[in-house]
Amino acid sequence: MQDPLPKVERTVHLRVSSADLWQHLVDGELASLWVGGTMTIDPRLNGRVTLKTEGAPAIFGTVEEIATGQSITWTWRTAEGEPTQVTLRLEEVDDGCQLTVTEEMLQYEIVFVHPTFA
Amino acid sequence: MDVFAALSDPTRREMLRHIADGPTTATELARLFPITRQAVSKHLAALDGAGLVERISSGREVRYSLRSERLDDVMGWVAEVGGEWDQRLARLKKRLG
Repeated sequence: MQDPLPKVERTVHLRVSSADLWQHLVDGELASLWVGGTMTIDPRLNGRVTLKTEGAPAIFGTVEEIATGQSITWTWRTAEGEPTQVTLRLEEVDDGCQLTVTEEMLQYEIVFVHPTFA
Repeated sequence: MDVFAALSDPTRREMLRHIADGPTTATELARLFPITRQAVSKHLAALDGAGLVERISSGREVRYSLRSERLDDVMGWVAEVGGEWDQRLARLKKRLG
């Protein structure tokens, strides 16, 4: 049986400078052009991330890790949904850049509620 | 507990693998895991609550079998989120080349 922990990973090759690509990842106005909604990002540790898309619940998150020019990781969730963690990792290659996106469900502890007796 | 919360625990995922091999009792699972019988029962209750397993009673024995249709939710999440990133990256590639 396959490990059922949900995870999505995609890689794309882009003929662009790493500086230009990085701006498209962390500048909200530029990110909004390709993410498909109104994106805001405060690209620093604990900075806010939001994505508002017409007809879909807004997603709110927080930057968990950032290595300027290399990678950014944030955790986000809708009001009703489960939190997921998104990582955008940029790698320079000979004729441009490779961008790897990972989105995965977070592991979190389950709290069992026991009945209490007076 | 929803299916994602139930699957977020590695012990429960491992239990589910054993249950997927065939209906299993809590006692049989307790022999396989370094945790108490009570802890096994709690994990099974979580899997049951998420609809990932079905309780089958036979006399005094209760066996647990996999309800694979609930895993379809997980596959649905992967397809939905994967599809969103496919579209986003296609737009990024179109813009940047």
